[in-house]
Amino acid sequence: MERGDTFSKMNWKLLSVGRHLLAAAFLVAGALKWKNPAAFAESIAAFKILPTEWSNIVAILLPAVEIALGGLLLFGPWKRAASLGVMLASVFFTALLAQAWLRGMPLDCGCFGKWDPAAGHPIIAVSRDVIFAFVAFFSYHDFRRRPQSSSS
Amino acid sequence: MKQSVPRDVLALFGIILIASGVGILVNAARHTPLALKYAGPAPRATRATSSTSIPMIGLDEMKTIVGRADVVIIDARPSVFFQAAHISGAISVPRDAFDAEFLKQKASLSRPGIAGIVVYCSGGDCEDSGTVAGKLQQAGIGPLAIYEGGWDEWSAETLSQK
Repeated sequence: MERGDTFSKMNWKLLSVGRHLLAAAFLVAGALKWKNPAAFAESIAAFKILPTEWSNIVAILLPAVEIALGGLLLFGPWKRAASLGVMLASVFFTALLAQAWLRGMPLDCGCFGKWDPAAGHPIIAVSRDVIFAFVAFFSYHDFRRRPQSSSS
Repeated sequence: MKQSVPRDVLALFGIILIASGVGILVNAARHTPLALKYAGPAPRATRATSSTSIPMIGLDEMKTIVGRADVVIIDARPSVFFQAAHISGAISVPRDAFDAEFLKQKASLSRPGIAGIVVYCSGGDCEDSGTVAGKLQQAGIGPLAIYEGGWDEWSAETLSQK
């Protein structure tokens, strides 16, 4: 099946660039959180979504998963599964930030450290994750249409 | 031919499992591993004994201080809370990043013409202001005071006046 009947060449290039940027974002976010898991655990506890005693476990596991998903999305193999994971993660982060914003809580997922331009700007932070989710969704859709060997 | 979603979910589950295992192993290999169970914010250093001599100020006195050019107000809370909201004119020197932030602010904290430095955190049981004030005192920065009511009291007062 021709890819062009769904995505024009331009759209496919845009999607490819978006996917690479998304993968890089997940790699950077994961690396920054991995660097200071204690601070990330405090951010998790501040959101008050999970039982607070789980904060450390999540702070240990989530950065590793983010790095794995970003790396696999960028370099493969299992790009298709990685894009599915990135999409689900982006949807989750969007919901997390949106509920914190609605509850009037300080908004910082600790995603990109102190250089995060979205820190303290709820609309930017939520919009960013919505865009991530859409890019991941279209990437997953694109991968599913490819022959198996090209996307594993 | 479209590929199956259940297969992708299974692959994703495998990725998460392996990555989680790696995460746990890396944490265990750290110089100071993070405990698996969260027990509250990072253990605070006990207040420097010298910090017991740092005077406390209340809301009324704080109202006269905010806006003065010769007084530095320091927010000792984690930077995420400072970025969300803080007392007007305050600078951020979080307890959990004191060394790095103090290096950046040291010159402005010890410049001539400063009448005093007030440190606050959330208020109530928060000890960050005492810890930061104690460290500043050890570094020879002063004169110091701690706004005991902290951000909780200040924000409530500010809201009640709107």
